[in-house]
Amino acid sequence: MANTISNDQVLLTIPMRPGMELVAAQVVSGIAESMRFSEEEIEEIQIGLIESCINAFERSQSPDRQITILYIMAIDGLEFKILTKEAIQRGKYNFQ
Amino acid sequence: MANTISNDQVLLTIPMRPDMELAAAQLASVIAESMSFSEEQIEEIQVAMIESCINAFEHSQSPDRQVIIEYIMRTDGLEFKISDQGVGFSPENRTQRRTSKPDLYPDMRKRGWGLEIIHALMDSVDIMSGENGTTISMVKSKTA
Repeated sequence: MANTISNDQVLLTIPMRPGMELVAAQVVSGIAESMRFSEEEIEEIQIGLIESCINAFERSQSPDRQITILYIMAIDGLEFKILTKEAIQRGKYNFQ
Repeated sequence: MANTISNDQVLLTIPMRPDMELAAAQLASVIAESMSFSEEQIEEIQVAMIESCINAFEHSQSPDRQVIIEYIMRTDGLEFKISDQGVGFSPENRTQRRTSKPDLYPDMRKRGWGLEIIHALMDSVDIMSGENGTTISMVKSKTA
């Protein structure tokens, strides 16, 4: 479990099972709150993330049935990447 | 190779920076809620999680400045493993210190009761610590 993230990143790995998209949304809510996003913005971010997770759950056909979400706290905003294990292996990420 | 988790597990990696303990606690809360824990139990879980994270943030001296948290949804309860790769400590020595004269340790200031709080709020707490870091395993049982 030797993940390496930078000081402005959070990494979450969840199984593809019902309700887990809400777990991801709760984490993004906590991060967005700490970045002083408005309530409305946080709600929009949560919906965006939930939809992205459900898409991955339903369409990725990832054999290990898990996704990893990388949340990046930038100065100008919050970015998140939804990655399957295959995408992590293909990509040039610092975490494993 | 990417981390592999089981179907009943969630893995969170957070940087040691202010408010990240709240993200970890919110995650614990939503998982506990989905497992039908009571409001009181969820609050206890959140406080224990916050204390564990802050302990790691403040005392681990971890060079990578990150904490890894495993959330394991068991049939009999919810288990958390909070790990850092810091310098470690001796839980026995610490207990001895705390029960003797806590006021003699001004470096703790108004904080420093984290482990006692965690023990009081969770049903089982196990600490493994060494020169390669510390892992606090804690369980909240469903029946408790």
